[in-house]
Parts: sequence; C-alpha cells; structure tokens
Amino acid sequence: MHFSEDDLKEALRRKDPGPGFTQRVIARIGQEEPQAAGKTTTIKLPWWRAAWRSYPALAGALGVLVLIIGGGLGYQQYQHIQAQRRAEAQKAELAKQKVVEALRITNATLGHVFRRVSEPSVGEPKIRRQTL
Amino acid sequence: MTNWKTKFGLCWLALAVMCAALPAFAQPGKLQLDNLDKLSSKASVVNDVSLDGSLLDLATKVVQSSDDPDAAQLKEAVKGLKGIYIKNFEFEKAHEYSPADVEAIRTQLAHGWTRIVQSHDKRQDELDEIYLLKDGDRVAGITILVAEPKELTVVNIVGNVDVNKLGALAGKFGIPDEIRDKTGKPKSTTPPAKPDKKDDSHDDDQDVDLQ
Repeated sequence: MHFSEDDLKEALRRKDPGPGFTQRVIARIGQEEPQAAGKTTTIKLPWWRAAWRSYPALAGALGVLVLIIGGGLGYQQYQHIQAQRRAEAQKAELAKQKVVEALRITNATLGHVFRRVSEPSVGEPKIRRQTL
Repeated sequence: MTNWKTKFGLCWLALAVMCAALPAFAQPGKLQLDNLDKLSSKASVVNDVSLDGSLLDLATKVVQSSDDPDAAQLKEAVKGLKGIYIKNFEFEKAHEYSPADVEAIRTQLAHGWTRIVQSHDKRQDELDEIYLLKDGDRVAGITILVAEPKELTVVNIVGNVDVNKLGALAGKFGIPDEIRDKTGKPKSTTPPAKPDKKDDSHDDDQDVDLQ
C-alpha cells in the first residue's frame, strides 16, 4: 500500500475537537477511575478465607463444630479400639480358663485310668503287663 | 440330550470326588464327637471343651504375659498341641448312654490309633482305654475313653502330647494331683512295643503299657 504525501498531510491535519471536548474527557476519566479501583479489590481468595472475611463469627462457629465432630469421632474410634482390646483380652482369658479346665479334666481322667490299671481291687482279674 | 446327561453325570462325579476328599482336609487326630451331643439333655453334669489351635495360641499368649511362675509349665504343656476336645457327661442314673455311643468313638479309633491301655471291668461295667496316634516316632494325638455306668468321658488331644508335662501341672491352676505317683514323679505313657491286637475277648483284663 502506498501513501502519498498528500494522504499523510490530510490524515495529520489538525481537526477541531468540537465544543465540550474538555468536559467529555473529564467525564470519561471519572468513569474509568472507579472501574480501575474495583479491579484491585477483587483478588481471588480461597473460599474459607473469603468466608472468614465475610462472616468471621460463622466461620469460627463452623471451625469449632468441625473440631467437636472430629474430636467426637476420634474419641468414638478410641473407645471402639479399647472395647475391641477388652474383648480380645476377655477372649484370651476365657481361652486360658478353658485350657486349664481341659487339662484338669485330662489329668483327672488319666489319673482315673492309671488308678484303675495300677490298683485293682482284691479278687479282681489278672493283669497283663506288656512293657514296663 | 446326551450332552446334557453327560454334563450332569460329570457334576455328580465331581461332587462325589469332593465329598470323598473332605476327610483329607480334616484335622488328623481329631475325633468326631458330635454324636455325643444328644447326651447333654440326659446328663446332670456336662463338661464340653473344644479348643482349636487358634484358641490354644491365644491362651498361650495370655500365659506368656502372666507373671505367674507356674505359667511357664502351663505354656510347656500346651506347646505343640493343635487341639483339645473333651466331652464329659455325668448322669444321675446308670446306662443313660448306649453302648453304640461308645462304639461310635471306638470305631474311629480303630484306624491309625494304637491302644496302649485298656481296662474292661464287666462287674463294674467300666471301660477305660487310652489310645495314641503316632506320626513316625512322635505322638500326634492321644485319646482317653472312660465309660462308667454313670459317667462317660472322652478326651481327645491333637498334637504332640507330653504326659510328663501334663503331670507337672498337677496341683497347679486347680488341676488335681491325679497322675503323680507317690515319689512325686508324674507317670507317663509311651508308645507300645507291639501293636495292639484289639482283642476284646478278655472282658476283665487290663492291658497296660506304661513306663
């Protein structure tokens, strides 16, 4: 594209801005300043910080609530584990008692058989001893 | 149609094979004592103890953590055991259980078990027997059968049983001093020199194989 000297002169020629130019400029500046100022206050914050800023009391109450619920759940879990441990200990103690009971009956039964075999009553039958 | 029949037949065959293989998965040495459960309603005293390996392990852990000096002996006695199964019934009247109940137990003991002690007293109508199950040179189980007119006891212990260790517990944990002799040494059983012939013709005989 080629511009001649006349084209340039025409384009750069002084033009009259017309009446009220100064007022229009001042009015435009007045419109743009609040917009620019508004841009600086709309920084993207995390939701919880925004909530904290907007409703600090509510956010604080929510925080306490979360702590209470979390603590309650933790305590419940602790209780559950303790109950499990108690149940296991009871089961183990019961198993030990059963073992002792089993050994008691076993010893008594063995003793009974040994007594029968080693101490027959008078006039009782012959005893065959295979191995001594 | 033939194909369907073949498939059906194969299913039955597979089921039969699985059923036949089931005893192989059962704990060796553990007797089926369920047939005695019906005696519970007739008996005045019932002692039914069933301790499998996991319960024995649990009991051993409790014993280990105990400060009781006798606990070590209890742990030693239980060590190597895989299960203890006991049925003991005491009756008010004689002959509340049938000979078939006893025979059902003895039939199971006829295979693989060796009878080391038998005392059959016809006058008092009492049968006492001790059987051992051996795995090579070591004891894999012991069964004590005591059938009296008013009492029936079956003790089935699976695992490596050491009667000496059982005897060492006498007088402790409320266990009676039953199998100690007067010298204070516990009596013990050993595997027999000869296999038992299971000759029941001598009703009043006592076959003993004690050390």
